[in-house]
Amino acid sequence: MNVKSLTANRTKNLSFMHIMRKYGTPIGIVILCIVFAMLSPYFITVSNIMNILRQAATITLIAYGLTFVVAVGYFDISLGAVAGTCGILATYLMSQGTTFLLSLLGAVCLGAAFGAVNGFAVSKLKLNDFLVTVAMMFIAQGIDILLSKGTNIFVDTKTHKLFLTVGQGDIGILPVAAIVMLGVGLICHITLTMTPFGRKIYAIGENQKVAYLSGIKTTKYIWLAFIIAGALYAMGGVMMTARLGAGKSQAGMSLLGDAIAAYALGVTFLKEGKAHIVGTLVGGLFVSIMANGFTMLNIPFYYQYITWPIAILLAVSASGSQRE
Amino acid sequence: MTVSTNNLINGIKKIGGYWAHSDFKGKLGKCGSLIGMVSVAIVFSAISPFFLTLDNWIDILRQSAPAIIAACGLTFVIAGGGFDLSVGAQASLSCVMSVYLMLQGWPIWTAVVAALLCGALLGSFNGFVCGTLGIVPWVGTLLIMLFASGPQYIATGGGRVQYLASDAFSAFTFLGKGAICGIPTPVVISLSIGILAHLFLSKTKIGYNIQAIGSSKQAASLAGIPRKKYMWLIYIICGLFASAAGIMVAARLGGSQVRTADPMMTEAIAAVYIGSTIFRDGEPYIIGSIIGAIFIGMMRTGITLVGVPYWGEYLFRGIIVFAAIILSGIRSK
Repeated sequence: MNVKSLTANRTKNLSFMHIMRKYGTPIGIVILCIVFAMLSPYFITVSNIMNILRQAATITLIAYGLTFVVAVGYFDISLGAVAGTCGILATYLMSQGTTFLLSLLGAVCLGAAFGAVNGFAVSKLKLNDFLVTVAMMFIAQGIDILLSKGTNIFVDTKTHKLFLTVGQGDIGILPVAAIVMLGVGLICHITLTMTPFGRKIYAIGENQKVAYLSGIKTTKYIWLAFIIAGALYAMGGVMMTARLGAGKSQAGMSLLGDAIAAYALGVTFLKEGKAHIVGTLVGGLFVSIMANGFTMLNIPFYYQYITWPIAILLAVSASGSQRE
Repeated sequence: MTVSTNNLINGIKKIGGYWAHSDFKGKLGKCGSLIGMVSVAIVFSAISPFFLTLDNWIDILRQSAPAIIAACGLTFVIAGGGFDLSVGAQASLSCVMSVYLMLQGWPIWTAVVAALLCGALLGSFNGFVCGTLGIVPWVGTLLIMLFASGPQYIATGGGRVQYLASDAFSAFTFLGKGAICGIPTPVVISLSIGILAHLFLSKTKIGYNIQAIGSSKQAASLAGIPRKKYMWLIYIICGLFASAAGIMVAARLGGSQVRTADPMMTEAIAAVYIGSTIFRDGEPYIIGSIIGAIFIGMMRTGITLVGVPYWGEYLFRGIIVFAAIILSGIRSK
């Protein structure tokens, strides 16, 4: 019974689970790609891959927002509804004649406003984050219906060329949407991992009491995290409308499952259990590939209601991130 | 004259003193919700003459019936320290499922039992995820909330509405539309279930244990209560109740539509939290949840009578949840 044999056995036992935890999502992506490629010849075409990237943009942007909130130690279930509502606001403004950039600004402001209320209630009033964001989800849906009257808002793409380009155009081969997704992701990643701000956010997420005692103004940072998240949700929502060319009413629920799945799948990657942007990006790609494959195979949309929970459950139990 | 005004002022000061030193805030907190509810009722009755009629109130009770049942089920979970986001989704699922099975030719009561069992099954999954796996209930029950829509769409082939048109189903629709001795059946059923639930939660040993776990997990474990088994139990109970609520919705509608009972989630959550502030300091209990559910039904009817546009309903739900959590002062971690 020497030490070496003991440790050797331990490493062996850990290694499979360890690999699954750390690299499960990218491995899953590879497996999915192989399966789909075998089932359909169109899967591996350049245009399809670009399509996957384009589709991933919406959900990934929203999931970036969720990443900030979870990094600071809370959860936000209003993300889908806020994204949908901000998208509706943007298209509403555009249909009234505002330029795309101003409408985008308006939508981002609305998203930040939602985030501000969420953040205030959670950080200052110390209310339960889930309940507050559930309430906000319904309020957002109300505003959504108020603006859209339950129908879709179409945008005149002749006058809003930039809008169309962002959603459906390309720069060279790469879709603009993908560039936005990667660019925003880069900014978020740098903010979270390389700035003092980001470090404080993670510190609060790890242990709020200790962070507070060590001098971090937790209230302010939690509030900011929610506001940033709200702005990101809005960007995701506008991206969705840009892809569709119209504002889709009540899009919140479908975005909810996808975005949470994207975030959850990303949490296991690279840094076990910690919310981070790169993982979320990979998670978003995973979700997009799965959705793309489903469409290729003509599987109706509602089967996603079954795949989301499975994906989220696997991801969350593997990563141990949402344990009590 | 001066003497008596002095006396008066002294008297007021004394009362003020009692006011401040007595547990006034606590007492107001306990009665506050009821006072709030009564005030809202007064406002509504001032705006609309129909509000105070017996017909209206019977209608309110009838419409609140599914929410009452769902809220009772959710009370078990929250009293046990958990949470269940999937209440509405499970209700929708059992609503669609029971109608679907009946239309497939299953006998009525077999279909009803099957739907209830489905609720228990999903509840046990929730119990597994939240209890055994230890995942935070919010995310854990979110899984079922998302999942439950799937079978609904699959069964109805994409969301078609189902109708129980023929008379063969009249025994079933009696549950939703009939009346026993003049009282609508849903009211009878929901209130009886409510009373049974109240007795179970507050008078039986199992009920006590559930509340113990909700109060303090550690103390309950140390006292020997098998926590994981109880987690399973509360979620199974909630699933059963949610399914029952969904079946009642199907009975009342005489058919089903995909996701029609989803809003019940907010109603149940708000009912339990508002209810926990009535006479109690934030402890969830059945009678409170029932009153809370009736109050929400009253608000909805009142808003419709007053004439708020359709988007108001969502805002209403959001504000209700906000009010509920602020009232009960639910703290975050």
